[in-house]
Amino acid sequence: MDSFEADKRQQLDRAITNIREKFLLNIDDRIALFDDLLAQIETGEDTEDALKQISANAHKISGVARTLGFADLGLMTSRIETDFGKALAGTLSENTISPLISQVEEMLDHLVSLSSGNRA
Amino acid sequence: MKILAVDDDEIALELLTESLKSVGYSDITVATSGLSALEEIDAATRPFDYFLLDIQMPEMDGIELCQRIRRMASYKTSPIIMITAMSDRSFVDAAFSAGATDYVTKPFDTLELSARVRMAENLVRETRVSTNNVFAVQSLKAKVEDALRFSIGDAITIEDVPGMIGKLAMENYLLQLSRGKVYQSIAIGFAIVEIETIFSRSSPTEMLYTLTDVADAIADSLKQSNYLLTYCGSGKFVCVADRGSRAISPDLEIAIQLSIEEMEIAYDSGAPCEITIAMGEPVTSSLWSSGNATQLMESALISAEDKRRALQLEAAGVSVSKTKKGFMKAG
Repeated sequence: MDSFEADKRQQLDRAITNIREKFLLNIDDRIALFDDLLAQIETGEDTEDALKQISANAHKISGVARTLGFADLGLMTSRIETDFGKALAGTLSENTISPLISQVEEMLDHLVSLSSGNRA
Repeated sequence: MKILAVDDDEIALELLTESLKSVGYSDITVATSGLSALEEIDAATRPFDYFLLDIQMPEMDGIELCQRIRRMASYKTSPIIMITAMSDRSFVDAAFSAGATDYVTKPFDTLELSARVRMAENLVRETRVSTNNVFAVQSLKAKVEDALRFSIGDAITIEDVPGMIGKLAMENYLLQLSRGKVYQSIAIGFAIVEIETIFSRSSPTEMLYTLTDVADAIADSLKQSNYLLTYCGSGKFVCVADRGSRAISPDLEIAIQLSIEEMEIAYDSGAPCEITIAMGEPVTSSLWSSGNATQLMESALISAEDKRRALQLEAAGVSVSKTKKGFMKAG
């Protein structure tokens, strides 16, 4: 790699570090959003819409997580998106929704640990 | 290069922007929705050179945005690169149908992004050269025919035909297909018989209209199938469709020929322009074939060329042996 390319790479790495910090700063907002959507499912108030929104938000995270160095989060969100997509294409029932909620809860635990790690 | 990047996620947009900057592109406008992208396009004092569009966005998704951009005269041939997560693969077909040139997957790999963008940049350069000649036919109609001249082998862009995409987009489409999807696909080549004679007797505008009519006839005969069609130059077209499609039968050639005859294509002088279509053997791929998916396209073109030659020899009174009907294997 010549020095020009190395400079560019360093510049990109610095930019990614800044974006990663921004992602971590806003992580509590993402957690709150997922919590609200889970509450919406619990009350039975437009469950399908809540599932779609969870899938869309997981999609957003999966698109950036690995690049920002959060490979596990990337995998979790990608799986959520795929499984929610399959569930939404079929008939929704408590049996299909319950494992999906568990997946989201696991992902939320992961987000919380990232958030606490950032504050520490 | 002036780029418009559209994604509803600000973090993704920042990553995209920084990745593009790291490979030397700095003139980047960003939009977080399809509507704001259209506003940016309207407000631009200098047109964008190409677009990067996220597929999954609320309200107006990237596919609809792509269609809307393609409807604009200034952007009929501009590269449009779709940004897609691996789970969006089902949308990729729709994106190519909507006029996308290529796609990149999220999470971004800066090397891949750089390669795709450089390819788009080359396309922009080539299109700029060609625009003055062929592509902007509507706006150049009033100008002299000389300005429209193109050579017989040019894979010119044919517009406003359902399912019609550029040759590069077709190649990119085939390259992104999974092995299973390639196996489920079928390619058929079509060639206009005596294209050299027709080309030499036609003005560039006439030739373009004739090619558009032939593309229309092919598209019309395939309308009940999922297909993509492209023009490859020298009077040859390739269609890629689902393997099980009912429209793909030996009768397809007859259907296209009838459709062309109904059009009563004529030269500007009023003399009839006799168009005969040679349809090659349908080409499929084996699940275990190791070749590149674009071989489907190449094999379909070769088969159509063979059929065209045979028909031309027959017309010249030379006897040729008939080939057995069936699906050819690519590669």
